[in-house]
Parts: sequence; C-alpha cells; structure tokens
Amino acid sequence: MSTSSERRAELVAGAVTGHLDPAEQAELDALAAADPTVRAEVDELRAVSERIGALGSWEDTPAVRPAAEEPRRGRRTFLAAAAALVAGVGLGAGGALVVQQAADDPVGPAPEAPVASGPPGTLGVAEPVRFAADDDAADVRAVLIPHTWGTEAVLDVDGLAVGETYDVRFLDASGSPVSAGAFLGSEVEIHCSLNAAVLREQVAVLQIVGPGGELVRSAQLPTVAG
Amino acid sequence: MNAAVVRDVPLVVNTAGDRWPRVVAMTDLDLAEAHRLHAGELLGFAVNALRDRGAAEECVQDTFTRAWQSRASYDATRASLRTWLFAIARNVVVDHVRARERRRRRAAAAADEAGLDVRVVPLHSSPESAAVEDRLDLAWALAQLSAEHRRVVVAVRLEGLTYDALAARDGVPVATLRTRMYHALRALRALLDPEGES
Repeated sequence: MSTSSERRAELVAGAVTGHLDPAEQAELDALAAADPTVRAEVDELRAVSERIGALGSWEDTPAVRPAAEEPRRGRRTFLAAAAALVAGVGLGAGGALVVQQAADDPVGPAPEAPVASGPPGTLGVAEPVRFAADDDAADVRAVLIPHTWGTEAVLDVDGLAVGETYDVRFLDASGSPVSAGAFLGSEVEIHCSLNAAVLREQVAVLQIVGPGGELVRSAQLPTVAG
Repeated sequence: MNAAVVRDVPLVVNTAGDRWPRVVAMTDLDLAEAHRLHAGELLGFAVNALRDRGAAEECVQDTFTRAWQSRASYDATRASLRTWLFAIARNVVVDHVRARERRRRRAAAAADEAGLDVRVVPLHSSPESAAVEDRLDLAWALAQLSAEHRRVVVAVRLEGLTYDALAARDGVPVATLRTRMYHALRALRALLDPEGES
C-alpha cells in the first residue's frame, strides 16, 4: 500500500467512526472531491460499522471450564467422542492412543484422562452419529460404541411422542435389520443405551422406527475396519 | 450423512501471514493440529453467537466431528481449511439455534395446552429469531478477523473508545489503529455481503 493509500485508509476509518478533527475532515473533503469513490466507501463501511454495533459486546475466548463440571451425561459423552475423533484422526487409522492436550488448548483437556480414543470402529470409543435431515420437532442425538460383543447405541432424545414405542435397529451391508431394542417417548429428555448383537464393522445404517413403522431417524454410518 | 457446505469467502484479514498452513488434500489433514490452531477462534464465534458457553463448546466439538466426517467434500482450491471450518461451524451453530427454537416452541405449545398464558414463538419468523440470526452472522464475521483487527473494532465500535484512548491503552499508534479499522471493516463487508463485494 502506498503512503497516500494508507492516509486514505486512515481518513476513511476516522470518518466512518466519527473521529476526524476539522483539519482531517478538510483533508478528507479534498480527497473526496478528487475521488468520488471515497464518499461511497465511507458510506459502505459506515453501514458495516453500524451493523456491528448491534452485537452490543464481544467476549474474548475465555478460559476453559473443565468438562467434568458439565451436568449432563449426554454432553460429556459427545465431548469425549469429539475429542477422541480429533486426536484419533491426527494419528491416522492406527491403534488407540491417549488424549493429551496442551495446557493452553482453548477448549481444554478431555473430560476424563486417560481416554481411549481412535477412529470410528475402535473398541470402546464413542462415535458421533450424523442423522439425515429431518423436518420434525424432535431433538435426537446418538453415539455408537463398538464392543467385542456387539454395538451400543447411546441416545439423547427429546420431543418424540410421549408413551409411543420407538424401535432402534441397525442394518448391515445387505440391508438386513438387527434390533438394538426400543424406548418410549417421554415428556422429559431421555438418555438411554441400547445394544445389538452385531459388530460395528458389520453395520451400515442406524435407524429409529416409530410406532407406525415410519422412519423417524436414519444415519448412514462410515465403513470401519474390523 | 449431511455434507458440510463450504462458502467461498474471498477475503479474511490475516496479518499473521503463513500462520495457518494450507491443506492441499484431505490426506494431509491433521485434525488435531487444526484443532490446536482454530478451536479457540471457533469457540469465540460460538460463544458470541450463542451467549452460552456450554452450548458453544458443544458446537466447537461438533464442528471438528463434522469436519472429520465430511473431509472428502473439502476442496482446498475453493477455501482454506480455516474458512472451511468456519463454514462448518456456522452450520453447526445454526442447527443448534433451530433445535433450541424447536424445543422452546414445544414447551410453549405444551404450556398453552395446559392453559398457561405463554406465547408460542413462530419458528424463523419472530423478531427474536431475526435478532439471533443477525447476531450469529455478525459474530461469525468478527471471529474471522485477526485478533489485532478484531480488537480495534471491538474497542471503538462496541466499547466506545476513541482511537486516542485505544492508542494509549495498547501502545499502538493512532494511524495504525485507523488502518486496521479500515481493513477490518472491508473484511467484514466481504464476509457479511460477499455478493456485493467488488
């Protein structure tokens, strides 16, 4: 940037925020008389500046609150799962490792240390599930935990019809269903764990089926190594 | 599985130059390193968009989970890793806000059925929703500025300091602060209105 363009930037910024003294205002006026884009830019940037004012305040990224303070088990489950994924992917699809984060890491240490972690399919490691888009009012979240004896689905559910039965099942690569159990819709947010006698590497889809056989949620699961 | 949407944002202030390594292909991606570099600024966005620290932390974690799950959709020729992560984070926070509104609406509807005098807030059409979405956009843009540029915007626009007062506080010349403000506002304009950016 040339000296003149730097001065132009200073004057425009001062004009936008209303901080020009009379001499600077005169300097800006002279600049604007010679360059019609100056006024336009002041107006455009002033609009941006005024819009930013709607934020009211800005909180700098604060220090980390230990995840152990979190009151909800479901939240901790997801934090642990995400932390495991982050650490696991960094080391590739190899074996398990221990999560160790630097003291100045802005989102802090894993909620429990040591934490077994690794890519999806690693025994004991929670894997967040991404359901396909839905248009109902329910809030359904899930993680999968592979075990030697099968696959565990841990659900947090809020907003499904109270008292109705919802079946949870996995589909294998051929589309054959394997039941993991069922739960009832509740007035309160529920947290439940259901198990299926099928290994994680053998399941391709997680489904929640409503009382009338309708598909409430469905998630394609990434292929994992056995 | 939902694929992350990558918005191609043309200008982001980054005075740190090569601070953020460019990922050429997803096979190069070290998500743990990406987390170390960007989790803080993503948390800054989420905290200021939601004003809820716990929810913001969840959103940041979900952002990295989605990034990992959607890594095949990342195109390094369209956006930097940082821009990609911010795009994912924005989607995550939007999803969170919508889910929160759905819960509020259900609660209000239940209260209405019970005969309680509680207004049901329409989804995505109330002034409250518009304000939340606007704050989300503003926080998303401001969080992407470099710390130095954001600092002058926050001090002058949100805290009401003059450039002279800020210069005295931070020991930075007024001319430098004004130049930072100029470039910060241009970057914000590009982020908030990429269609109008010439």
